[in-house]
Amino acid sequence: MKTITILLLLTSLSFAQTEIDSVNQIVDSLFIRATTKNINFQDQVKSAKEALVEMGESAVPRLVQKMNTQDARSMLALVDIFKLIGSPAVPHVVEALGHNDPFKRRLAARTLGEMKDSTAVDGLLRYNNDPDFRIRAGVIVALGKIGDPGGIETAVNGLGDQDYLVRLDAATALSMFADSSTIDVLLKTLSDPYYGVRYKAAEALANIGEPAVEPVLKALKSKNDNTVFYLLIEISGNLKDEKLIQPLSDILKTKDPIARAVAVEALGKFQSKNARETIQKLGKTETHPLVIGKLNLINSE
Amino acid sequence: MRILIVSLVCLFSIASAQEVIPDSIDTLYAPLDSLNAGLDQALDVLKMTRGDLTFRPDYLEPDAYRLPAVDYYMLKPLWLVDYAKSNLKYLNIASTGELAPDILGSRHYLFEQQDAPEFDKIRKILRSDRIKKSLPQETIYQLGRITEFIEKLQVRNSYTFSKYSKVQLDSLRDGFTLLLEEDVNSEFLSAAELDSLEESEDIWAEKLLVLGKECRSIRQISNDLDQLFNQPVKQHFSSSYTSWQTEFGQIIIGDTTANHYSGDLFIVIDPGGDDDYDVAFEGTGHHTYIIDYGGNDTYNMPKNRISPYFFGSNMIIDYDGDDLYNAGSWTLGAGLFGVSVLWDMKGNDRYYGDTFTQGAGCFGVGILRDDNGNDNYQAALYSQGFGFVEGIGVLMDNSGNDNYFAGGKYKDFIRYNDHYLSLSQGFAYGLRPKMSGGVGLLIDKSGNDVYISDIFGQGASYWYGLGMLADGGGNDQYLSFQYAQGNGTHMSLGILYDVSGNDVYSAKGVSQGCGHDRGAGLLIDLDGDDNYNAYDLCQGAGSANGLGIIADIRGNDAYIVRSDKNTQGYGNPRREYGSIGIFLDLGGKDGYSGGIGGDGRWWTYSMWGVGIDK
Repeated sequence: MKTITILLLLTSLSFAQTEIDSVNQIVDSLFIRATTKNINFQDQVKSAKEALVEMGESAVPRLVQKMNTQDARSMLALVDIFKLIGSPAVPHVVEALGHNDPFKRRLAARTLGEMKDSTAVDGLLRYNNDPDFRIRAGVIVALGKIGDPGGIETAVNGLGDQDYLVRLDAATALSMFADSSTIDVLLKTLSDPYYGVRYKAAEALANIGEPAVEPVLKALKSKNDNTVFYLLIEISGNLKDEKLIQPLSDILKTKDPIARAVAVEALGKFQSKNARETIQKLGKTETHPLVIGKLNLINSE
Repeated sequence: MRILIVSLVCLFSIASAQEVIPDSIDTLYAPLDSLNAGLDQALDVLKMTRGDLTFRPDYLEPDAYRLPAVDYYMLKPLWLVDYAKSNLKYLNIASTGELAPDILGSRHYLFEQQDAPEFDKIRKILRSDRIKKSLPQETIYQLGRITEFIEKLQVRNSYTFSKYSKVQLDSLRDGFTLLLEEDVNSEFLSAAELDSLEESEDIWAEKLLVLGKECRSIRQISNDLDQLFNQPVKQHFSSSYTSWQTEFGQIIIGDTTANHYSGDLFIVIDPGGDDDYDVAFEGTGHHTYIIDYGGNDTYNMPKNRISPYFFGSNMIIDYDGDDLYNAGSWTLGAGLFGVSVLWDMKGNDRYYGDTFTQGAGCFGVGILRDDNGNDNYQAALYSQGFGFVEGIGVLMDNSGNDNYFAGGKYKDFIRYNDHYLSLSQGFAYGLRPKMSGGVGLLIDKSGNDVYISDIFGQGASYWYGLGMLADGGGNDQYLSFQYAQGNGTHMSLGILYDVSGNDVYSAKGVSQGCGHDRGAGLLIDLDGDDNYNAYDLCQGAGSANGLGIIADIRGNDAYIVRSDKNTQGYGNPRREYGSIGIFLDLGGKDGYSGGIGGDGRWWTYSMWGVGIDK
């Protein structure tokens, strides 16, 4: 019975197809193959995607029409194809940002981020205060991926957004920008209620590098809650600045095994003899399995 | 319908117990204190707090079918542990209880009560002198309460479905049947044909998305169901064979000989004997109510392509005997735009079905309850505690050494050439991305049980649903292949909860406490010497921003995995942030092979993953 239903549908579709432009027919046919989930047809996926890319701009309008899809595989395929088509597709995708279909808009923002084409920046900035939190987040992270400095202010503002997914993408963008002007706000963000935001802020501070050393050192010495403290230890290890070795070594003397473990991991990232010796010394007295695990990992490297 | 589902979920989970639970049973749950402490330590290592373990209901705009209970546990997935405990302790289809305000919040759906129209023909029969004179009191009593229930159901159905034209009702019936049925020949279709199939289902889903919205206003059927089951069981009786033909089908009062009942059975009350039931109806909207007081009976249920009980209801209560339940799809506790209850109180029983059976619900409630005996449950798909859109499906087995098998018929040809879909055994399923899933519960309170599924099963879910397998005791075996044993895939929730016994868990991957794509999967085993065997992405694994937790609190356990790259406390990055994986073994002398874990060790090898063995 199910097969009958499908056949009826196929029949009705075949009448409609007589009206369809031949380019669209080709795009449709290739797209079906480019997005098939069936393991028996996986050999067709790559070649179908390549053929669509080969079509270039002529395929773009039809592909943009498909951007309202809610199918994850189709979304991924569209992003891949647009990335490979490159700049000819950018204006079309920017236009899709203003479409009234929310799925098309979100996919447009995501696609523009992956395309990393700076000509999309102005188009993206038009939507940085969009009422849909997913668009705000998508725009901010796209700006970060493109890396145009014009997006930094938008990302900093995003850290104050009420929605944690927007804050998450704002911290992600700032991690990509790695701009020293954002150090203070990133340090504050280490106490964000959502772990994704905290982790990304920590990553951003590490990516900023040397300019972040003194502020992180200062923060490490001030009283923080445990979560922030552990993140600062981790950042210190990623910054790998010699000035941070002593404060990290001091942490090895504390009673908090988690702090000691994170500090061991952080010190293990330093190439200095001093750091190595400190770690080895701890190995003689340490009893907590988490710290011992970290020590063993470093010793095995 | 939403009130019905929410009510039942909450009723089952948090309701004040009618049964008196001995205090000693609470000692079974003492390990939960250790679990809480262990979780907090693991979160400290991850630089996280419990508040970080949350999923928002609005990654995509919530559809009209999202169950409040699903949203609630998405926000607080750790609370699934309490929910499982509550279900094991209190779940009882004959309990009324208080609805939990913390679950329902302001979502007390109250719809206008309609005045009951006359249920004329049935009432006339019941009030007739022939009935009063010829039937024992017990029979009249049973007939009375059944018809009262059906009457209420009819009233609500007529109120709800009167808003639909015949074409719309046909669409609901054909559409949901199409979405739920599988075809063994689908694996032979070409890529283009499969795409067309998917497209046609998408078109149907789009249509049903709109049509279904008016089906959620059926009021308080849960309370009516409670009243139906809450009556004390009367004494056995004897009677002589009597029957009437009504517009709803046959009403038959049997006798104690071995009877063969066939055809359009509406109400059958049988006092004993080894009976055969061959139920047959054409069309939809039918009702069947069978009460059988004893004997080894055989029930052959309708095997129509479209369920005769679509928009209708059915109930079987079998008091005693080793019974055989033969069904195709849509029966044996399968509520499809309706209510279905199968309650077998005693005996070693065999249940056979195909699709959407043995405790399954879609825009309705399906309950299969078996109180006693060593039972066999066999089905292919969407069964054994399965919740689809706006539905709750419950399979509850109170005692005995039971076997559960789901799969073996419909190949999962999208992913594999040699595995079969199950989507069963405490499984919830939604239509991604259009309609959220329901709640599927498989609750087995005791006995040494064997659970076998293949792809999707055993406390798992897909797309904004909640799937739970909770086993109270016994040495159990859990075998599945993928997406199973405490798995939430694509923004959904799954938990496998085992209280005690020396258990064996075996799966390939995306299993044993694995959350994928903003889903949460929990495998919690409180006690016993257990064996866990898997291949990859399992045993406390988070994938694509999911949360996976495996926690074994007591006992000397063994953990075997093939991959040491994505198991035993592993979380991978996706969408620029992490997935969370937590592995906890909080007692005993444990053995490890293949993975990163070790007895008495704490470990972290991925940014958002942690393992602790104490």
